[in-house]
Amino acid sequence: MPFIYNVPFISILLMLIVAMMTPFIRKWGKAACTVNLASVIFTGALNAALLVNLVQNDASFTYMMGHFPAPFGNELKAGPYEALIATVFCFVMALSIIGGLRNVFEDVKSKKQYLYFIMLDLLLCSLLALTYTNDMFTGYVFIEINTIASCAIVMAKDSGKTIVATTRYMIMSAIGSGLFLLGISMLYGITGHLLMEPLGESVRMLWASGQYTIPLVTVIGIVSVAIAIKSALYPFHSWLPSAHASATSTSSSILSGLVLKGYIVLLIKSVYRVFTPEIMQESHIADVLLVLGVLGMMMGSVNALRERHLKRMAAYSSVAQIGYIFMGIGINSEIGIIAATLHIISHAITKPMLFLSATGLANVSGHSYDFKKLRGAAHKNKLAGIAFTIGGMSMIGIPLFAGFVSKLFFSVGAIESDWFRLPIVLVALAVSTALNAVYYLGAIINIWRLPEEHHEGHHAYSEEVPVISTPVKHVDLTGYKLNATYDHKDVEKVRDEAEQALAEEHAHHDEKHRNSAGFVIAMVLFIASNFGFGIFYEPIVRIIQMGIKLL
Amino acid sequence: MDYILNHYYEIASMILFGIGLMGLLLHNNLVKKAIGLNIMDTAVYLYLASRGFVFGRVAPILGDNLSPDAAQYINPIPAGLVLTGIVVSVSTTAFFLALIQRLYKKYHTLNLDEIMIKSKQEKEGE
Amino acid sequence: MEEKEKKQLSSVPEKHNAFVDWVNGEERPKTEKKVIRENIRRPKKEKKEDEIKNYRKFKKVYIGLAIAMCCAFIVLLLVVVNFDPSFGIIDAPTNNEVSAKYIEDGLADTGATNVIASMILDYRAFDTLGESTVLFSAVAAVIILLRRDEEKRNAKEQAEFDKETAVIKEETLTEEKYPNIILQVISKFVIPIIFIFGIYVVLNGHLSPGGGFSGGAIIGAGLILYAVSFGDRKAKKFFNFKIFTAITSGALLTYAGLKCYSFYTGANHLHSIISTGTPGAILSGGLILPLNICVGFIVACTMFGFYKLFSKGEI
Repeated sequence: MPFIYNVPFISILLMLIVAMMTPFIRKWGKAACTVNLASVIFTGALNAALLVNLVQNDASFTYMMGHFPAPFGNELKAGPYEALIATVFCFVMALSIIGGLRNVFEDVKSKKQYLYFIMLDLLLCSLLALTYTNDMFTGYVFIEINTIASCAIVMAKDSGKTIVATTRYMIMSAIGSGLFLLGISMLYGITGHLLMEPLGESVRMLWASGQYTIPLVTVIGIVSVAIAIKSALYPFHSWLPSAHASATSTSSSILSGLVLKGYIVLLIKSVYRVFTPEIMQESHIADVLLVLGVLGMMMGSVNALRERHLKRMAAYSSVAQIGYIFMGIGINSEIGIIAATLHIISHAITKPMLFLSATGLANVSGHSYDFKKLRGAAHKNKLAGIAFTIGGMSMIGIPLFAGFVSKLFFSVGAIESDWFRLPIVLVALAVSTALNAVYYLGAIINIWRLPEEHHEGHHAYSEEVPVISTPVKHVDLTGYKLNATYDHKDVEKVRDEAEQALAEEHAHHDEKHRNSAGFVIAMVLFIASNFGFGIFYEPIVRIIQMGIKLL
Repeated sequence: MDYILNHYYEIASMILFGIGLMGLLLHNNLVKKAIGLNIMDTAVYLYLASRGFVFGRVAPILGDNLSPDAAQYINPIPAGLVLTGIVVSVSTTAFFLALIQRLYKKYHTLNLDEIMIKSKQEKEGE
Repeated sequence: MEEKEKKQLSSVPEKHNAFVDWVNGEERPKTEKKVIRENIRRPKKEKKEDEIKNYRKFKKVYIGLAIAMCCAFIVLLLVVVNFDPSFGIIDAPTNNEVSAKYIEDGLADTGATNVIASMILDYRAFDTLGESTVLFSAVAAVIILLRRDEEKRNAKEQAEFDKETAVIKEETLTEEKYPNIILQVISKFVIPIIFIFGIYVVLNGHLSPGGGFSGGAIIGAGLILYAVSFGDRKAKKFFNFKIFTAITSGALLTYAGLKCYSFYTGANHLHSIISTGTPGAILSGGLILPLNICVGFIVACTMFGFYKLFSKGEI
């Protein structure tokens, strides 16, 4: 077995070991951050090398974790599909950390920063394990690590709103995990296996016998609903806006871009290995997912239209994009899964860029995400403005940007499927693209719009108008006339204070905002990958096709 | 009647799962939600543990028996799965209770409705 | 005279009329600040009341839907349960070749007479590694939430922090002034027995029922009993935050390192130098004994850490 085949095991255990080693280096300031960033980049490089190797040889392999083969021991399975997803995950996580580093050091308390980086490491470890695992119970254990780590990175920024958001996220995730465990137990009860390949054979046999229809449909439904709850499909999305909008920018990017997708990748793998696409079709679970995905696309966009808080708008937009992905899974053909995977990748490289640039824009507008205060912010922070514009265009689906590729394949998938799905999918695509255009263009126009008069402009929108009331020293009421005497020194002191306050406000608004080097690097790389994915998508589609055959 | 006699453990565990799920969703008090979560998880462990039992066999600890026969011992797999599950459930409950303690310190109430309303009234960035 | 007064009153400009109104008790004089604030805040306040009304409406719909769906779900599950094999029959699908192999070859492959220990720490060791990581991540998350550090805080938070510190100090002083004599006397007998029993359960994990998790829980309970009966100051002498992180991270690192070796040699079909030993001896079972000890440490420290973080906010 060539050494490169050890990469899945090495990446998972490397992230785990770095996470456990970090408490020992917590005294040396930013050392935790450097070590973790380096290990994320190294893992990304390893997975990219594995991807290149697997694509050249058109191979997939199973890796025994221990001395015993399946079905007696644990296994990892890697093919071009899993390697591609793992590489994208590592790449996006590294860029999100680099881009939001300054905000992390501001938002998280200094003595707890090493714990934040431990949580990021554990998150990447569990995402990689979910991508590579070949065993349902291992999937459950790493889903739990994922849940705890992602709740922890929401509440690392210590404020009332984040803790309430984390509580709601925790409750919904716990329901999802409980349902997932119930589904696996029931599946184990009727088949006796936990690894995906033997499970798939047993499920096929049981379905063919015709006596086990009800339990199998129920189990598939329970597992799908569990994963839908955890990745915020339409009726179960209520936890998402507050959690993603109140967290710090790195956390929002990673949650929106990666965590939701990890569960969906597990679902796609289970659909292909355990519940075969034929069973998904005959039991109509695929149709249910399609309908829920379409509803998510519409309602997510409708809710995003009403938001005046930039991050909450982006979070509702995430709900809509997850609807797209589930619609692709619901189409239940090879093109559908290819489209869903392309959308996973394009959303993963676009949404973090949106969140990071939104934070960059807010940093020059007094740390507020309100639309009114962000008016004209793009002129103060040009890089963030350009990045937000490109991200918005990509979400709408304009050609040459990343979002267009997946929408193209969704339409192709719809046209190639049966007459029942075709109109639903095409109409849904059209309506939701129009809705996306409305709110994204609205936001983009708002940030590029110059306020009317530059100097009085930003005074009109601040609520605290600095009004100085002059201190009255003595009031004389004799003869119905008001004689107020002022002390000249007091008046001058007050006038100096007023001028100083006004000067500070001016300085605060007019000073040149210097973006941190990490922010610049992250934005440039995200923009480059966006254009790269939008223009050179052919090789990636071929890799995904190759991977699905070997899934 | 056959149905109940053959499946009493499973029926009990499904009813408990439903009770736990309803408790988690419907109670307003946060500590009662945590208890509902625990009841839900425990029901699944009861279900798993009942999958492994076989009448007339003993626990899979080989004493002095150096050449064991698989027909003498119960199935060891569900027991291992339940072990893992219990530890996971303890961790989740601990995390949830820590969140509840922080929420109580900040809002001085354990009622999720009141906490949601109070947090909506807070200023941005607090 | 009255006409002169009236003339003077009417010649008084507008803002003084506001002053006269205030003196008459009609209205507070509004500064500019307040006027602007009221004009901007008023629509927002109505919007917030709207939000609260919407939230209450949403709650009612949510309760109705939740009850209906849960009841439907329970009925569905009860129907599905009927398809399961009966409780306790011999030829259930779960008693297949996998469980047969674990029982028959468990002793020869791993050297442990406790088949369940060999299953979770050798055959399916990756799951147990994940489970220990879940425990570690839960402890780290609770530390983020509850640990009270010396940090830079703004004035309001610093006041709250000082209040809490005062309350905790008072509690500790009360504990030491009025010690639990009954608890202390009995603990002096019971705690050593608890520790020895816990260590016995951990070390014998591969030979009899037990293992790292149950033994660790017993040792953790013993530590909690010590902290409750003898007070925090004595517990801090041998268990503080540094020791806690050192033991937890060190044990987990050892576990991961040992398992790395095992996974690597297994997947690459290399021969592993760990021998399985003679069945029934303490030093047998390959790597299972060290792994049980690591897990025991982790669980014991974690249980004690949870207790201290919840009650005192620091370890």
